[in-house]
Amino acid sequence: MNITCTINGKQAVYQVSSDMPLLDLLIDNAHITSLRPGCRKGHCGSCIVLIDDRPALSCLVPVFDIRGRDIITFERFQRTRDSTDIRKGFEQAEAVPCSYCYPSKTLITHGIISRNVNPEPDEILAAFALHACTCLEPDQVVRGVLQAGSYRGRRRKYARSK
Amino acid sequence: MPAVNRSPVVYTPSTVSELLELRTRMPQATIWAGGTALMSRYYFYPYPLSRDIISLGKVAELSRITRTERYLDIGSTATIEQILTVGHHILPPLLARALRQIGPPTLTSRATIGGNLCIPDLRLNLSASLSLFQVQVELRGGKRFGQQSRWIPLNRLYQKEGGLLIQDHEVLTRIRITFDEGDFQQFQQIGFPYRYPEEAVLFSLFARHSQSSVSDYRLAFTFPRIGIFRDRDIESAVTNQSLPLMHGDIAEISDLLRRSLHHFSSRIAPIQYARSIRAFERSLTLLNTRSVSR
Repeated sequence: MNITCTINGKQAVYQVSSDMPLLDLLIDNAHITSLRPGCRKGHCGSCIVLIDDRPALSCLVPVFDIRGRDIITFERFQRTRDSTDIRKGFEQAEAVPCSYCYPSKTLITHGIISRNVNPEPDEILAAFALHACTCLEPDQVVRGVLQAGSYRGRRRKYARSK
Repeated sequence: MPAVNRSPVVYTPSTVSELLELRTRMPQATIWAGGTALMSRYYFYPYPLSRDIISLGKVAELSRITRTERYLDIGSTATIEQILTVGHHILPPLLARALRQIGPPTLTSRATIGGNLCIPDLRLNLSASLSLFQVQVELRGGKRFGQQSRWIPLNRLYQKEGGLLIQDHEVLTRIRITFDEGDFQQFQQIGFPYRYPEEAVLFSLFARHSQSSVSDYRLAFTFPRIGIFRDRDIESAVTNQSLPLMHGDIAEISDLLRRSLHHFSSRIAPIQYARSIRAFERSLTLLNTRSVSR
């Protein structure tokens, strides 16, 4: 099946089996290196990408479902200002995730603060509940996300005032 | 290309009638809603045999949620996130909790209510929780089978052993939940029903009570690999009991539950058994506390 989609800003056509998980397409065909093929069952949360700017587990998305959609992986996302907000937020909260889960935790955080820059702790912990990596304590995660949200909020406010 | 290596053909109907037509033509095709359960099976990809997929993603009618004064109508491909957003203030607490415990937003934005109810070999959060309410499901079949639509109570969707009772040419299209007010509702997910189904138990409870007695008591346990356990004897043993329940009453009703669970299935693991009894006794203690604090 021919799959046409945009990966990290570049439109591409892949001839793959229609039921192939997006994770495999990204690793084998698009040569993305930031993804961790952990459990492949949606349990570990280490293969998150943004599909149309929303975090999704790439191991649970078949490629026939990404036709015409916009996929952003951490490689591209880390070059954006949105990523800088998150990095600064976690650094400020003295809660830097380990290198294994850094990409997926950054994308989950983006998913939370792009909807609400001041989320409730329960909402944050629910979003991170999936993530199997325990490099951060729950309160560190909450502080990091809230700090990132505050950076994002300030930047948005500044952009609007200009 | 040999059939075993053929990429599955994906059909994307845009109306229910197109879907039913495809379903009638290809009863063995895989029906695809959110795909979260299917994709997480180890045998999903690469699939050893040739197959076709009917994706429901483009059938707008199936993702619609409508509300009247008496009931909530949910299309079978409405996502869990969508239901929680729309039904935030109107869903009974038990259901809202069961929905929220399905998983984080990355999962609930894809997982659908129909998928949760229709996994052939697993009963998850919603089956038992919904069975405590007056819930009807709509099954639609192709014209060729002389039957367009039938509404059945949710519990008739499953066999006693937990299997699904949907015929090959039928598709689950809508779930209708009639509102029912209960002043004591509980949902507990003990263990991880999807990861470790042999150990997990899902406990759902709906009750109405005054300060001095229980007027309505409904209880269901879900054993993911076995099925839904609901026992009218236990329900009637608690209904009309005076509150607070005495220690002896609780022990007696727990014994009844122990015996009923033994009769229900020999496949219940000891850990599931212990978890069920514990959750049940805890709920009765909580009910006591509630009645005293009223």
